Amino acid sequence: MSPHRLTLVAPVRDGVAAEVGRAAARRGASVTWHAPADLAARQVALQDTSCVVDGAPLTAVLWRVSPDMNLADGFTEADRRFATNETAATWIAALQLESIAAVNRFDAQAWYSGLRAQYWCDRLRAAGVRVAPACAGDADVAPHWRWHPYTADGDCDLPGRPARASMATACREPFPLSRHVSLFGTVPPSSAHPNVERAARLLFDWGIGLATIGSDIFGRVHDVRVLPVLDDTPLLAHVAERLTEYLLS
Amino acid sequence: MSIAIVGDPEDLAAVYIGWLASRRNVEVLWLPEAALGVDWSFAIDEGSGQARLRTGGGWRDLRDVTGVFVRFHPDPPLPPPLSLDDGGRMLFVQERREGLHHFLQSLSCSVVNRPSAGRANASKPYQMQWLRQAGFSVPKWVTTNCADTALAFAAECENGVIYKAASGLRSRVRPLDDELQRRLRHGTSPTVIQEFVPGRDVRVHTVGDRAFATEVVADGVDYRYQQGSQYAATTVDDALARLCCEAALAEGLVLAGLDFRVTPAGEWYCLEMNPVPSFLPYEMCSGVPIGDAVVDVLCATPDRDASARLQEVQTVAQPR
Repeated sequence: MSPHRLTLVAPVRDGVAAEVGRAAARRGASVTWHAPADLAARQVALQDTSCVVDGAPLTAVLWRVSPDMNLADGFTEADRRFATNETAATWIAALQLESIAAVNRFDAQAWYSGLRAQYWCDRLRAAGVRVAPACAGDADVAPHWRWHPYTADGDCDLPGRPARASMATACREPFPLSRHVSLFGTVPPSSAHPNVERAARLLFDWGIGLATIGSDIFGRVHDVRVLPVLDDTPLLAHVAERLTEYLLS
Repeated sequence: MSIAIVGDPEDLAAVYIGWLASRRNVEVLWLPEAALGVDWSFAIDEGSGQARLRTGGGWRDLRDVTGVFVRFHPDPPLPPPLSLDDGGRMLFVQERREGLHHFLQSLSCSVVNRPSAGRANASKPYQMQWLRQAGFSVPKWVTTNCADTALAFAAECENGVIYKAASGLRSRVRPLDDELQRRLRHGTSPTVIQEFVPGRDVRVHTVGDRAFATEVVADGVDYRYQQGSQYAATTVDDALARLCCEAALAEGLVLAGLDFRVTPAGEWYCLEMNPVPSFLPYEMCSGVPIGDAVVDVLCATPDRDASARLQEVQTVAQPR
């Protein structure tokens, strides 16, 4: 029987990919690691039910790529943006195939919305999850509230009202956050608020096998990170084992 | 009654929709992207549920707006008199665009179209998988940057093949030619290569649960780039019209443009579903009343049960 094959598409210093690669190698899998910037140079043949990359069928993919990454380093500067778009469009489609196990399997709506925290909050709210309320745009905001830029993680001091009105900023009351790992629809250990558990299940329904969810003491979701960095060594090892098991099953 | 037009006030479709609505004595609120925070602004308080809009006439409740038509400019200007360097400008424009997306997503009225709707069109192979699963016939295709694969696929297709961009970037559809073969041999990014379907072009626009079909008579494989293409209203059978509407709504699209090739034997092959269709040339040349149908939707009293149903459909309508 041929060994399992796992493809990692991740920046070279991605800790999750490195740990999953080691776990897969321990299980005897053949592991290929593609840096995102090299992706456009790979030989791809994608059809309705299968995808072949560099002559080998794609069967399992850990996808640690964000929509703002360059995927076409070998191309001229004039062609790079086009080649990146074409390559991303191909791989996002490949990740949907039944024949491929993928984490995360971003759908087109998520990928082309930039995978931003506000996008996930909007989508979760529309699906009935309680999300920390924001004031957006030209709204009255208490001075201790924080600005959450749409295009960056984290928060900042409030800009002045004219700037808030012109950029349609979203601002929230600050709360200490608990950060939960959402792994295949569950939040281990199972001590999270039911609202967070519901968010995790929905994320998995939407193809998100791995994410972190930031929530406050009321269980309200403040942010979702779908390309999380996991610094805690035992947690990272546990997550990598589960991801590997899923991808190679 | 009020509707709003958000984005680019010089977009021809936006101007046309505004004109049609004015003829019905509907108040049209123009909300240009570049004037956000200057001539107009909005305030949404998700805690209290309050949503207000400020225009020249002062603040009003956003629930008084029955519909919003959206057309964004790809390179919108900064608000006057703001001046930023290139990096700052790019960040400002991105942040403002995301803010407007958040605004449009939060509205409970009809939005034509919401930014999250129809995103599959940005990946042609993704959308072709989706269209097939939705019940359409889709021509055979491969997405590849491998010359041997492309030529082998072309050899299997007795009517030849065309190629086009895999992403949503606008590209001219061409028959397989020396240029692509040269690019494939020298290394290029993946391209969609698709079986050519001989026949006629039909564009079906859907507006909610209504479908409008227009036949395009042209000689080449991509009529968009041809002089002298002829447009005429045509018919589409009820089952296919219903499928078009259901597919568009499942993708969250109130207005969509579905491109078909129809063989002489009457087989309808769906090529793609466009979330920002340029419906004006079809309407102007064939008389199909797409714009009026859009205004009907924008002026309809919000049906919150329908919105909830649409949300359910969107949630379950992913490709897998």
